[in-house]
Amino acid sequence: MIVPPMLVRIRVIESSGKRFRLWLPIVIFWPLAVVIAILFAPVAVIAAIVSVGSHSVKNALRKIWMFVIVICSLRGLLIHVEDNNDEVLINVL
Amino acid sequence: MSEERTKILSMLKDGRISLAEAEELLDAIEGSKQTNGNKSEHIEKSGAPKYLRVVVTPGDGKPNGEKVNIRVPLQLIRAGVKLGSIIPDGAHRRVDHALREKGIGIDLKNLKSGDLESLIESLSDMSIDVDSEDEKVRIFCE
Repeated sequence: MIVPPMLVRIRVIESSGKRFRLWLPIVIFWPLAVVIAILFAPVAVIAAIVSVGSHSVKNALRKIWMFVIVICSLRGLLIHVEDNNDEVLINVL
Repeated sequence: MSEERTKILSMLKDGRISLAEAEELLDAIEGSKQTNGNKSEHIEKSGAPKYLRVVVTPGDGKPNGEKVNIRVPLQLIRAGVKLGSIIPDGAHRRVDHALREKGIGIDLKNLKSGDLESLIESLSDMSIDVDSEDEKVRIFCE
Protein backbone atom coordinates (compact mmCIF):
# COMPACT_ATOMS: atom_id res chain seq x y z
CA MET A 1 0.00 0.00 0.00
CA ILE A 2 1.32 3.43 -0.90
CA VAL A 3 1.24 5.82 2.04
CA PRO A 4 2.32 9.39 1.33
CA PRO A 5 4.53 11.26 3.79
CA MET A 6 2.75 13.30 6.43
CA LEU A 7 5.37 15.69 7.71
CA VAL A 8 8.68 17.15 6.59
CA ARG A 9 11.11 18.46 9.19
CA ILE A 10 13.97 20.66 8.09
CA ARG A 11 16.46 22.20 10.49
CA VAL A 12 19.55 24.12 9.47
CA ILE A 13 21.79 25.70 12.08
CA GLU A 14 24.86 27.56 10.89
CA SER A 15 27.92 28.49 12.89
CA SER A 16 27.23 32.15 12.06
CA GLY A 17 24.12 31.94 14.20
CA LYS A 18 21.61 31.66 11.37
CA ARG A 19 18.84 29.22 12.16
CA PHE A 20 16.15 27.78 9.96
CA ARG A 21 13.53 25.43 11.30
CA LEU A 22 10.57 24.14 9.35
CA TRP A 23 7.83 21.70 10.24
CA LEU A 24 5.81 21.25 7.10
CA PRO A 25 2.66 19.19 7.66
CA ILE A 26 2.25 18.11 4.04
CA VAL A 27 -0.63 15.93 5.12
CA ILE A 28 -2.83 19.01 4.70
CA PHE A 29 -1.97 19.14 1.00
CA TRP A 30 -3.07 15.58 0.23
CA PRO A 31 -6.84 16.24 0.28
CA LEU A 32 -6.19 19.12 -2.13
CA ALA A 33 -4.07 16.82 -4.32
CA VAL A 34 -6.85 14.22 -4.32
CA VAL A 35 -9.38 16.88 -5.41
CA ILE A 36 -7.05 18.01 -8.20
CA ALA A 37 -6.51 14.38 -9.25
CA ILE A 38 -10.27 13.78 -9.38
CA LEU A 39 -10.77 16.94 -11.45
CA PHE A 40 -7.86 16.02 -13.69
CA ALA A 41 -9.00 12.40 -14.21
CA PRO A 42 -11.72 13.10 -16.86
CA VAL A 43 -9.27 15.37 -18.76
CA ALA A 44 -6.66 12.59 -18.66
CA VAL A 45 -9.19 10.01 -19.88
CA ILE A 46 -10.34 12.29 -22.73
CA ALA A 47 -6.73 13.05 -23.68
CA ALA A 48 -5.93 9.32 -23.67
CA ILE A 49 -8.95 8.55 -25.89
CA VAL A 50 -8.23 11.40 -28.32
CA SER A 51 -4.58 10.44 -28.70
CA VAL A 52 -4.97 6.67 -29.03
CA GLY A 53 -1.77 5.24 -30.45
CA SER A 54 0.25 8.24 -29.34
CA HIS A 55 2.77 7.46 -26.64
CA SER A 56 3.12 11.04 -25.47
CA VAL A 57 -0.04 11.12 -23.32
CA LYS A 58 0.66 7.62 -22.00
CA ASN A 59 4.20 8.67 -21.10
CA ALA A 60 3.00 11.88 -19.44
CA LEU A 61 0.53 9.96 -17.26
CA ARG A 62 3.21 7.41 -16.44
CA LYS A 63 5.59 10.19 -15.39
CA ILE A 64 2.96 11.71 -13.09
CA TRP A 65 2.37 8.30 -11.49
CA MET A 66 6.13 7.79 -11.06
CA PHE A 67 6.38 11.18 -9.41
CA VAL A 68 3.66 10.15 -6.93
CA ILE A 69 5.49 6.88 -6.21
CA VAL A 70 8.81 8.65 -5.62
CA ILE A 71 7.16 11.18 -3.28
CA CYS A 72 5.50 8.37 -1.33
CA SER A 73 8.79 6.43 -1.15
CA LEU A 74 10.44 9.34 0.62
CA ARG A 75 8.60 8.49 3.82
CA GLY A 76 11.14 7.55 6.47
CA LEU A 77 14.03 9.44 4.88
CA LEU A 78 16.41 10.92 7.42
CA ILE A 79 19.48 12.99 6.71
CA HIS A 80 21.17 14.37 9.78
CA VAL A 81 24.64 15.86 9.65
CA GLU A 82 26.08 17.82 12.55
CA ASP A 83 29.31 18.96 14.03
CA ASN A 84 30.03 21.30 16.91
CA ASN A 85 28.72 24.41 15.14
CA ASP A 86 26.55 23.41 12.21
CA GLU A 87 23.63 21.10 11.84
CA VAL A 88 21.46 20.00 8.94
CA LEU A 89 18.44 17.81 9.45
CA ILE A 90 15.97 16.65 6.83
CA ASN A 91 13.40 14.18 7.99
CA VAL A 92 10.38 12.94 6.09
CA LEU A 93 7.80 11.28 8.29
CA MET B 1 -6.21 -35.05 16.16
CA SER B 2 -4.16 -35.00 12.96
CA GLU B 3 -4.64 -37.49 10.16
CA GLU B 4 -1.16 -38.98 10.58
CA ARG B 5 -1.67 -39.49 14.29
CA THR B 6 -5.03 -41.24 13.69
CA LYS B 7 -3.41 -43.47 11.07
CA ILE B 8 -0.61 -44.47 13.45
CA LEU B 9 -3.05 -45.22 16.28
CA SER B 10 -5.25 -47.32 14.01
CA MET B 11 -2.18 -49.24 12.82
CA LEU B 12 -1.29 -49.85 16.47
CA LYS B 13 -4.85 -50.95 17.20
CA ASP B 14 -4.79 -53.37 14.26
CA GLY B 15 -1.50 -54.75 15.54
CA ARG B 16 0.38 -53.84 12.34
CA ILE B 17 2.99 -51.91 14.34
CA SER B 18 4.33 -52.34 17.86
CA LEU B 19 3.99 -49.79 20.66
CA ALA B 20 7.65 -48.80 20.29
CA GLU B 21 7.27 -48.24 16.55
CA ALA B 22 4.14 -46.15 17.13
CA GLU B 23 6.02 -44.01 19.64
CA GLU B 24 8.86 -43.51 17.15
CA LEU B 25 6.44 -42.47 14.41
CA LEU B 26 4.61 -40.03 16.71
CA ASP B 27 7.93 -38.52 17.78
CA ALA B 28 8.90 -38.11 14.12
CA ILE B 29 5.63 -36.27 13.40
CA GLU B 30 6.17 -33.94 16.38
CA GLY B 31 9.75 -33.26 15.26
CA SER B 32 8.75 -32.34 11.71
CA LYS B 33 6.00 -30.03 12.99
CA GLN B 34 8.47 -28.21 15.26
CA THR B 35 10.99 -27.82 12.44
CA ASN B 36 8.34 -26.37 10.12
CA GLY B 37 7.22 -23.99 12.88
CA ASN B 38 10.77 -22.76 13.45
CA LYS B 39 11.28 -22.19 9.70
CA SER B 40 8.15 -20.06 9.30
CA GLU B 41 9.03 -18.12 12.46
CA HIS B 42 12.50 -17.44 11.07
CA ILE B 43 11.11 -16.20 7.73
CA GLU B 44 8.64 -13.92 9.52
CA LYS B 45 11.37 -12.50 11.72
CA SER B 46 13.97 -12.07 8.99
CA GLY B 47 11.72 -10.21 6.45
CA ALA B 48 13.13 -7.78 3.93
CA PRO B 49 14.99 -4.76 5.30
CA LYS B 50 13.24 -1.39 5.07
CA TYR B 51 16.05 1.13 5.37
CA LEU B 52 19.64 1.57 4.37
CA ARG B 53 21.54 3.26 7.18
CA VAL B 54 24.81 5.15 7.04
CA VAL B 55 26.14 6.22 10.42
CA VAL B 56 29.36 8.14 10.84
CA THR B 57 30.55 8.93 14.35
CA PRO B 58 33.73 10.72 15.35
CA GLY B 59 36.57 8.47 16.38
CA ASP B 60 38.74 8.74 19.46
CA GLY B 61 41.30 10.83 17.60
CA LYS B 62 38.76 13.49 16.62
CA PRO B 63 36.03 13.67 19.27
CA ASN B 64 34.57 16.91 17.85
CA GLY B 65 34.23 15.57 14.34
CA GLU B 66 31.10 15.38 12.21
CA LYS B 67 28.24 13.08 13.03
CA VAL B 68 26.27 11.73 10.11
CA ASN B 69 23.08 9.76 10.38
CA ILE B 70 21.39 8.85 7.11
CA ARG B 71 18.39 6.57 6.70
CA VAL B 72 17.26 5.91 3.15
CA PRO B 73 14.03 3.95 2.63
CA LEU B 74 14.72 1.00 0.33
CA GLN B 75 11.34 1.74 -1.21
CA LEU B 76 13.02 4.78 -2.71
CA ILE B 77 15.50 2.49 -4.48
CA ARG B 78 12.62 0.43 -5.86
CA ALA B 79 10.93 3.63 -7.05
CA GLY B 80 14.22 4.79 -8.55
CA VAL B 81 14.51 1.64 -10.63
CA LYS B 82 10.93 2.07 -11.84
CA LEU B 83 11.78 5.67 -12.63
CA GLY B 84 14.62 4.33 -14.76
CA SER B 85 12.06 2.90 -17.17
CA ILE B 86 10.88 6.39 -18.19
CA ILE B 87 14.34 7.83 -18.66
CA PRO B 88 14.99 8.53 -22.36
CA ASP B 89 17.40 6.19 -24.16
CA GLY B 90 20.08 8.84 -24.61
CA ALA B 91 20.14 9.60 -20.89
CA HIS B 92 20.20 5.86 -20.13
CA ARG B 93 23.28 5.37 -22.26
CA ARG B 94 25.03 8.23 -20.47
CA VAL B 95 24.12 6.83 -17.04
CA ASP B 96 25.31 3.34 -17.99
CA HIS B 97 28.52 4.80 -19.40
CA ALA B 98 29.14 6.80 -16.20
CA LEU B 99 28.49 3.70 -14.08
CA ARG B 100 30.85 1.62 -16.20
CA GLU B 101 33.53 4.29 -15.81
CA LYS B 102 33.18 3.87 -12.03
CA GLY B 103 33.54 0.10 -12.43
CA ILE B 104 29.85 -0.68 -11.93
CA GLY B 105 28.73 -2.88 -14.77
CA ILE B 106 24.98 -2.68 -14.18
CA ASP B 107 22.60 -2.06 -17.04
CA LEU B 108 19.77 -0.24 -15.27
CA LYS B 109 17.30 -0.85 -18.08
CA ASN B 110 17.69 -4.60 -17.78
CA LEU B 111 17.34 -4.63 -14.00
CA LYS B 112 14.12 -6.55 -13.32
CA SER B 113 12.01 -6.06 -10.20
CA GLY B 114 12.61 -9.72 -9.22
CA ASP B 115 16.38 -9.20 -9.32
CA LEU B 116 16.00 -6.03 -7.31
CA GLU B 117 13.93 -7.78 -4.63
CA SER B 118 16.51 -10.53 -4.20
CA LEU B 119 19.23 -7.87 -4.09
CA ILE B 120 17.37 -5.96 -1.38
CA GLU B 121 16.72 -9.16 0.57
CA SER B 122 20.40 -10.02 0.51
CA LEU B 123 21.19 -6.54 1.80
CA SER B 124 19.80 -7.58 5.20
CA ASP B 125 23.01 -9.57 5.77
CA MET B 126 25.24 -6.67 4.69
CA SER B 127 27.13 -4.69 7.27
CA ILE B 128 30.15 -2.54 6.58
CA ASP B 129 32.16 -1.27 9.53
CA VAL B 130 35.12 1.01 9.01
CA ASP B 131 36.99 2.10 12.10
CA SER B 132 39.70 4.68 11.86
CA GLU B 133 41.23 7.05 14.37
CA ASP B 134 39.20 10.00 13.08
CA GLU B 135 35.83 8.41 12.47
CA LYS B 136 33.79 5.26 12.56
CA VAL B 137 31.57 4.43 9.62
CA ARG B 138 28.78 1.88 9.67
CA ILE B 139 26.65 0.98 6.68
CA PHE B 140 23.88 -1.54 7.21
CA CYS B 141 20.25 -2.31 6.51
CA GLU B 142 17.46 -2.52 9.04
